[in-house]
Amino acid sequence: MSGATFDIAASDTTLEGKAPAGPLAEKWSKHKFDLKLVNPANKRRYRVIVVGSGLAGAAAASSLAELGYNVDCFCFQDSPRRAHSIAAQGGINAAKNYQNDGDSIYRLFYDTIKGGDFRAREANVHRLAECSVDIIDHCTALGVPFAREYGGQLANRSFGGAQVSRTFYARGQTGQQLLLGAYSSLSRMIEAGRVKMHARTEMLDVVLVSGHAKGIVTRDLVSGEIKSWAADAVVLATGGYGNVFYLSTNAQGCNVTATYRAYKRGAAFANPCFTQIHPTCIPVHGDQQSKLTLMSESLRNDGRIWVPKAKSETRAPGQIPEADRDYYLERRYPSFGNLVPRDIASRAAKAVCDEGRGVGPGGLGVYLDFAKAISEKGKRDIEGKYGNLFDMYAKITAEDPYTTPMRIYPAVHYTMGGLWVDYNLMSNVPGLFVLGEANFSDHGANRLGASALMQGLSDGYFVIPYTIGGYLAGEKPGKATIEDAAFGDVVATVKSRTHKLLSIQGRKSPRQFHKALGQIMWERCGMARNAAGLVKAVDDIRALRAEFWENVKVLGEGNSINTSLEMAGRVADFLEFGEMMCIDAWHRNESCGGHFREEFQTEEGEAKRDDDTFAYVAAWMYRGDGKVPSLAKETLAFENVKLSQRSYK
Amino acid sequence: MSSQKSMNLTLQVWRQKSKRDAGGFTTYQAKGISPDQSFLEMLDVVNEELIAKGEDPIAFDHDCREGICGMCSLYINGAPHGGFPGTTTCQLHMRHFKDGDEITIEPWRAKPFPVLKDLIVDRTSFDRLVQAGGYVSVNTGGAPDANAVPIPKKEADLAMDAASCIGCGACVAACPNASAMLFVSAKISQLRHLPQGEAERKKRALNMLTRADKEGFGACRNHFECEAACPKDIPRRVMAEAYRDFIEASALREE
Amino acid sequence: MSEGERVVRGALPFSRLVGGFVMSSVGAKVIMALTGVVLWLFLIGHLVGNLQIFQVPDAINSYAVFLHTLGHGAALWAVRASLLACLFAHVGMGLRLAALNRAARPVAYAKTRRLRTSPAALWMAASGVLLFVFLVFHLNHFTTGMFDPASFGLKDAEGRQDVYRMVRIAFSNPGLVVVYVVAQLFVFSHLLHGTASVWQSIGVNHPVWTPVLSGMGRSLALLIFLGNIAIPVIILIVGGRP
Repeated sequence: MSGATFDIAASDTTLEGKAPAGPLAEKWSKHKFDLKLVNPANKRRYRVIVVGSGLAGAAAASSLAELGYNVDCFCFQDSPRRAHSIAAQGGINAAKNYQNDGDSIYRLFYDTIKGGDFRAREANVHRLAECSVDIIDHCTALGVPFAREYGGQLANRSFGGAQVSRTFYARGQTGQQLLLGAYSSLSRMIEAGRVKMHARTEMLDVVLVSGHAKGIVTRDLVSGEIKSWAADAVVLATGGYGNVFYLSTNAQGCNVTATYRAYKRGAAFANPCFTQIHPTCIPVHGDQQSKLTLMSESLRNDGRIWVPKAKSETRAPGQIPEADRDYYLERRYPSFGNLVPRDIASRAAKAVCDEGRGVGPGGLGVYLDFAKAISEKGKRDIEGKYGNLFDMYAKITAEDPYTTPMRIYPAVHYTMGGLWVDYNLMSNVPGLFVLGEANFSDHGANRLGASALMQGLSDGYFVIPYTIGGYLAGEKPGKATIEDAAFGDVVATVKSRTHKLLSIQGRKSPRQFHKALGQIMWERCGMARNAAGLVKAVDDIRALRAEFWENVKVLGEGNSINTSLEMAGRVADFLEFGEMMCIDAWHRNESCGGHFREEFQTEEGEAKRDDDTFAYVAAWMYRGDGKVPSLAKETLAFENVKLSQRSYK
Repeated sequence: MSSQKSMNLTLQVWRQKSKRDAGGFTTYQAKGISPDQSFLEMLDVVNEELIAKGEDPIAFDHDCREGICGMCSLYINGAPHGGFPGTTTCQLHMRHFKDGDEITIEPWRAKPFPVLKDLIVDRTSFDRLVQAGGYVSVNTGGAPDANAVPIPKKEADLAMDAASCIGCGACVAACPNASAMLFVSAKISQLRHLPQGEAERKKRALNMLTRADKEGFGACRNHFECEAACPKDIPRRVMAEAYRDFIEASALREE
Repeated sequence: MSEGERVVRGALPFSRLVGGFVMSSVGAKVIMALTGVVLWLFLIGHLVGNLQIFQVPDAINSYAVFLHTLGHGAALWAVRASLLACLFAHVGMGLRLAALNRAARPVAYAKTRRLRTSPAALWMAASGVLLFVFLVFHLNHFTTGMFDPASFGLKDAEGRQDVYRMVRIAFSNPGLVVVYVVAQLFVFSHLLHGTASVWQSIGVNHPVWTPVLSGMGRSLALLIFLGNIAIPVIILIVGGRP
């Protein structure tokens, strides 16, 4: 281990989770009753800003508008329908127990807590499981075409890491259909004049008035205008930060700017090192690659994962006899086999590739083989279930997965960390609410498959409409206006930063810096991390950041569409954020979920948690540019589940 | 993965500074392009070179780069998304081209899709079409159990076929008349096949199709170029269904 | 009242049609389809009647009298009026949609590659306009007799207008035959797309029956074409002026 250390100061902020007391199953009902209400006639006097129009943002914006609030909704894409929630393929979990296979709200709660390696807040997770049931009902009412059985009932499938069939789906496009459902409600509210939609508008900062979040500053991506927006509360639903790795399954535009700016204004950033590496992605093809493509892990229901037994294997996959194949997941985890949770499947793939048994270019890939499923169930059955995924794979790789095994490799997919929020989904900055992937709340150190859609919609449809009322009821409407000095100050900061980026006129494009950062992060803070590597990563990031502010080249003007400028601003924030991520990973001297520290593993190479020391949420507080952030801890109390070593053997 | 070696291409790209600028074609060379790169990754390479030379990079819309968000566009060699079946530009791989090819790249052309810059067009007219009625009017909360109303698999599948639209606008771009009929009808069709959408079926068709006319989209003349260009293979059936609902809602309505 | 309802307003047949349905692009499409079907049916009837030219001269001459005297002459005018109404509706809607469609794409593409449509569909407006020009010519030729009053005024043995001889004289002129054959190409092209796509326009799309109906429509278009050119071509070959 390296001798270098970071001097981490304890923050004087105390973070209260505010989970209500009482039996687990009654907490949410009780809390809903205890929350203060805003009189229906008064709701129209309040204005709420929602940043982001994905599942959480669109659901929140439309639901709040339906209640009568005035909503301003912002997205950087050309339409709210483009948000990256749309790319989720596999499905959405709900504890409906339609299959009569022993599912229940408690089981979904338990699976999620355990799947998250016991690093999530019990009360939040139980609420999530409760709301899951309502989500399916509501989305069906909205006209989401979920898959059906011949009898007309909803179909389910089992999905990564679950032993019950509780995943609802719409072909391989579940995220798309759920998002378009939320988008349709949002559209209805826009038509009704209750929501004002601002597309192609990027939030660049949040504005605090007397310590409360009362507005944002945005840049119009078409005209370049920097503008202030005042409201009575601000809701961030701006997604995750997986693009800090440059290559990820995220959309090109996904960024950390909104949440990172909020962090710099005082919001605590929780567990940034908890990132999820998804096991079933199409491997990297070359150095001009801009993104990685995920294939639904539902593929693992029928596909078998293997690598050759011998390092020196040169035969084509079809030529390798059974005896020379290592179905390593089935071998290591006989009871879950190919369906082990994502973090475990990803690490196992890395392990065999590190041994030199990987397949494809650079040895960075493993086979996902459907030969057995096709011979047992027939090609038609497999085509019916995965046809679109097979087509997508064939399109990208020019190989036919019906005859040649797919090659897959893990890729960054989702980030469990995010802004710290209490049970009301409010950050430590009053009036600043954070929903969906942007917050840290429900998935602990690892998210189970088909749970991201559930969380985004639960937060947006069924949590924020109640909890925001609890905050607004104590606030006089229209307290802040854009004439307040606070807005002017933030606008000036944003303008000077934009000006700075345009004036450097160095020699390297923003993309080159982004790629370089991504390499550092993937190398040192990816699937496996160690203290020395993380210290090195921080050094490298600091050097890269210094170079960025000296040598970045952003052409064009600030007053028109300028995609380089947009990218430069996002990369600048990633360059600061990446450092915080590495420090978080460095400080957490344990392995849990997606965070695997090589120093902390069992003899079989499984993650070794340290519950005595690290059963807390690590929430980082900004202390100034270039300074190591201070650490506030929210201790996680487990009243209902017993902490155990996750075992999928 | 193909083992073809890299290729050099000549691009004719539409450049236009702003909405008001007249715009025109500029020729660029794309060098050392790997057949495994996507079309947009090829443009990334060209842009990096332009930046290095101090020239304004080509602006184009893109986001997910996996064929689902619908943000990418581009009229490539005379067809939207390049005209390959079931393919968006972001999933169009360079192995479909060969060394020395000349590629013409234009923005979507339609009055309701004004060019904002280079290859970026404003598609908010599509949002307004959905706002006219592309939804089921239910508020959050109080929905009955999802299994309370069975929906035959066949109907759910027909709804899903239509629902897979990604709103990219290729149908409008491909249509000789710049008609948005396939886009509008896909939403009308999705909801008419579900019992939840039945209550507003006629009103929806009436309002959405009326809005399409108002936005300045052209009229459908049954060329079915939209169907051929649609990266999600939305069938022409959806338009016939929308016409039925519209006829019922307007000329044949009883009140 | 919703936006669509405001546009498609009015309770009376006239106002609900003219106020909204007709002005909508879908309404225009439906009207074009329905009037197109009427004109198409007329073409079939017209052809069947005209094929009597290949029988004895009496056949077509008495057929002409039959048409002129049915319902004391009122039936002919009623049919003519309906056909003219359909024609003007069809042409009017077509021109309006063509103008709208032109406006919908103010800047043309530099390069276009068609993926699915047919030349017949793309040239619908052009073939329609040429068809209309031919129609004016044809009416002046055989209905008003403007071009050749002498043969238009011929009488047969029973004192009826000698349609038989008039037609045979006309088509012994190779120039006229060329005009009629070329015109039939426009008719064929126009029908080829029209008859196949009419079902879609009125909202009928069935995975099995629509292709069958469209195929039948196309076959009928071909038969009309062959029948119509048979008259001038055969007459020219076997010789006119009997």
